[in-house]
Amino acid sequence: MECKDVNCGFYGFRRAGLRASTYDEVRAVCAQFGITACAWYHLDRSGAGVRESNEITLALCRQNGGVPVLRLLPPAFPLESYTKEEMERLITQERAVFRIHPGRDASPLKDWVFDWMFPLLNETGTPLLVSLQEADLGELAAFKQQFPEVPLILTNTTQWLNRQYVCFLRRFPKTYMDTANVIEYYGLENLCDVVGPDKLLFGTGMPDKEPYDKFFQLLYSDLAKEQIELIAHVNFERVIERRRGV
Amino acid sequence: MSLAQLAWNKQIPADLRIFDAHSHFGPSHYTTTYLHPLPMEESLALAHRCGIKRIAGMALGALGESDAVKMNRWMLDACEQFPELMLYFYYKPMQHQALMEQLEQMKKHPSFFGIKIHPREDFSSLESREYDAIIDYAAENDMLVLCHTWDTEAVCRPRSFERYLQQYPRFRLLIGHMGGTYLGCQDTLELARRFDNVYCDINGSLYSGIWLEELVKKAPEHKFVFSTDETFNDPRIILGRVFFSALPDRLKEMIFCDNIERAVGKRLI
Repeated sequence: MECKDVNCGFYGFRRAGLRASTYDEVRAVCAQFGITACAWYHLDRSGAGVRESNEITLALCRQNGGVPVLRLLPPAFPLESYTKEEMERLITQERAVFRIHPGRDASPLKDWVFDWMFPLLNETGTPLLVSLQEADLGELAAFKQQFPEVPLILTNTTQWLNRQYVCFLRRFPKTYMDTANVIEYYGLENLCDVVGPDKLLFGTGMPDKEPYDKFFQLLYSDLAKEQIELIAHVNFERVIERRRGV
Repeated sequence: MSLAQLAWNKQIPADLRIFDAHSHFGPSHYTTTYLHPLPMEESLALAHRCGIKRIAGMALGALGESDAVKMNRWMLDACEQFPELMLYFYYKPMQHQALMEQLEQMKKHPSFFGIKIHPREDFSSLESREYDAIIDYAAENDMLVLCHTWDTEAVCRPRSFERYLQQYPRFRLLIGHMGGTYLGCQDTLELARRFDNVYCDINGSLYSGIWLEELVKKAPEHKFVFSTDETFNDPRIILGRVFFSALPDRLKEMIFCDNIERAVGKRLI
């Protein structure tokens, strides 16, 4: 079973409690389980800063393949955020996608906060990842109404918001969710029924959680082979790897 | 072949003993989140297809503002109809008298497994004295108690059990979800190290930031118990967590069944 992981990160140091936490360790787990591509994200906030962490991700993806996921801060302070020219280069030449942290980075998902950045994502059809643990679905809905061409990927969903995110995914085109936190009873099958398999992207949530559950969930699912393939890797290819302008 | 390889090839051994020590069945009007229970036959078929041989469950409909006496009866009827099921007798303080009378009868049933409590759902608290009577009774009668715990829920934190464990050395406790969070897990592990009769329900600790291989290093290996949390959670989540982990097969077998048998002092499969 080929899988491509839309929600895969790494730390810059060995972290207690995690069997794999550094890039090399997480990559080894990916190889062990047949994950052939990842959207890589640097989780380490220590040291030099966000731009430098993003540079490490870019360098690793250039060297080993995979899609770089870059932490996006609003254009408030030049020392930490990208210029428009830099961001255009990252999108077109590095094939980067972006992740924002409305909560952790105190950067709410508002057009007046991200200024020209959201129109640029919209113009280029560049995917944006955001954890449902940090985002407000009302704000996400307003964002999608304003920037409909941005493929928006909800990660780390929670079953306690399942009514809301199902309605959100059904209402707005180019919205997706990853499977990392889909633990609900019969959840994968049920989501395929109510939002469709083309909205679901395989995600492990590594290294903060183990990936093992995600393989068993797919292997022993009641889904059709075509649905499993969509979730496991085809949607990743369509939304992330073969997107417009890449 | 290892258990992981067999599971990957969809060849889970027929003689592998997997006991689900924390489950919920049946109708409910639970509205906090959408739940998607399958009909009992389909639910058991899914569990069996994934290798689960026997299940200890409570009636989902007993939670919260509902008649636990009626729902315990419903669950026992289900156990009689489906022999692979065992009964968690559900106790809530708001129906104390009626439930104690029912427990006196049901404890003799061969499907009786233990007692389940869920302070959050029943608007009660481990920090009050509301559970003194049932824990005293369980300790006196050598019954296992499973309690939902979550460290961020003030009414059901693992550490709230410390006073009971000190008071009742025979009290057998399965700490549901291991307290859920990183801190909840740490407290659960500490209790499991200190008290002989404390066991760790590994379901729910998926998001604690501790992989299973690391978790089992922090308390004696015989303390970790497999469960699914069906109908809230899917059994395939926690099955995958155990099957595909890097733990040795013997330890997986202990987690799947041996450890819960030790906790209740009898063979279950």
